[in-house]
Amino acid sequence: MPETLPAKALAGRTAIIQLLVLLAACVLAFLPEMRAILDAAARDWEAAHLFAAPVLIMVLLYQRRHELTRQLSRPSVWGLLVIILSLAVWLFSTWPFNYAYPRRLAMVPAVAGVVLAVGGWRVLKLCLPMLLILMIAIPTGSRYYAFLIIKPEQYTLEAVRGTLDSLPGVLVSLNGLDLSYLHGSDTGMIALGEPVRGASLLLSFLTIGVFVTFARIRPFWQIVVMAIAGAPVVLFCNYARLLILGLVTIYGRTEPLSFAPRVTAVVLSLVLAYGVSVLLLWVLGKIIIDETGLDGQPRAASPAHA
Amino acid sequence: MAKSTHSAQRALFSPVFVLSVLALLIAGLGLRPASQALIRFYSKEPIALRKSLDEFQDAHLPSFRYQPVRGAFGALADTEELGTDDWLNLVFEERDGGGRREEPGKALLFVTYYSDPRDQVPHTPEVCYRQAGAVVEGISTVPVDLPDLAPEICEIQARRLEIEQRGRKQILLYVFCCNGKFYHDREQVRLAIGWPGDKYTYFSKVEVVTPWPVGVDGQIPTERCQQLLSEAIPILVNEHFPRKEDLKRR
Repeated sequence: MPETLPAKALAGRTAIIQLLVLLAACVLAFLPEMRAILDAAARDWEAAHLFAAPVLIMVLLYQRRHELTRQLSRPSVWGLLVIILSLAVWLFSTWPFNYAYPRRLAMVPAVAGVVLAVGGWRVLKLCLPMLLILMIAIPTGSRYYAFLIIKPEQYTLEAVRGTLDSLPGVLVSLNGLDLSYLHGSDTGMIALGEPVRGASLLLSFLTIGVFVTFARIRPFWQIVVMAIAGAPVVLFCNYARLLILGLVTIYGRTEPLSFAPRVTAVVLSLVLAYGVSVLLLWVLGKIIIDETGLDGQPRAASPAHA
Repeated sequence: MAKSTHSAQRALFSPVFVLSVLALLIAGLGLRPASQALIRFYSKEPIALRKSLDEFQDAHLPSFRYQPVRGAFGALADTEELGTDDWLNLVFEERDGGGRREEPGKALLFVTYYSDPRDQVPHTPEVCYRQAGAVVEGISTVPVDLPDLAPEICEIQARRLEIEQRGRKQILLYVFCCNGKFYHDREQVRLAIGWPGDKYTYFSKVEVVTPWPVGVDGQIPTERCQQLLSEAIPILVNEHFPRKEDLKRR
């Protein structure tokens, strides 16, 4: 018995060494893709959540450290197969095809394979939220993103136009993607010069939602509810961002292309995304699910789900 | 303690771990140069048009006549942004009012041709019209009959857009032709460009746009676009675009 604890500690240490070695090899394999992603994130604040992703992943790992240690099992040979599969995806999206996004995305199954090869299926299950954050952090192609946001962007612009136009003394019109306003003797444009003014920071809001949801180990049904609520929450936060931007622009009488309304809108909408996610989970936490089984006996405590 | 250290050492160099490290190292050091070599050796080559688009025989269109009006409607991109010198932009008018009593409808035919395999498939109209200030009110697909290309191709699917710009509505239909096959999705075109087999590659975007006046059933401008595509595409395929047999490895 006295050997049990050192043996576990040793197994944990071995797993960490293996993980670090494999992650280093992963970095070597995907170095050009990582560079490209970092370059894209540095140029475009739409992908700025990429810089937050490593911190959020580390926090989640820290939060789950005891559970991860407990669930550490034998390495799975499936890990090796998943790694090979991810490399095949990388190869085919390099030649004969030329797809930058799947090439970058191949990193995610590669990391999943590494986790599986080191810690087994249960550890991989616990790491799924971190892999999801990693996946969201990888920027999609700008042309594909521009196609995906057509409808959400239009609806958001129309909703913000309607809201601002209903304010006393404010007239707002929408021409294409341009929101123009008239307030007293002031006229101007809202979000002038922003390329995706009606659908910005969507993935940042999503990242916050994922992080808050998985900051604690929750029952599976709560995760399902949060997944269903994900799209509406993201769209609402996007609407709020543009609305705040409009309010600050109109009532703040800021100069065109001023930085202040944008920063204010971004910061407040990110805080809102955090707040809405926390509020939703708090409400879900108050809902009591009947834990009584069909036989009338209380169910045994179920293991953690995610 | 010695026993547990021994088992830990065994776990550290487990076959799964060692093979995983090897796979990733091989990928990092060897797969990239290998893929570059494959690209160099097997990359497709550009192929020129058989006949320039400037020589498009507009007189061969049975239902439309050429109107010497440039930029009457439509939101054309700057030609420098098109990324190609091979393009066509012509306005046509229905010869007989499309069989209706109303004034003959006009339609713009816009064709671009790309043959460098490194060319990016351009922005599709639903994206670039929005950047020009238009609102895309509807996206769907409609069939376009191509009896002149039968039996090889009888019908293709084109993407149909309802566009509103500065209070005016338009119907736009577009389709891609890549190595003799038709697609309405740019991702499918990207897949077709990379698909192994041919030595040469090309793709072309064929776009038709017509006004949609207030109070007119949307079917009428849609049918006008379908008709123009139906008549223009066979001319492009039979006279301008490279033949399928010319794309093969020789």
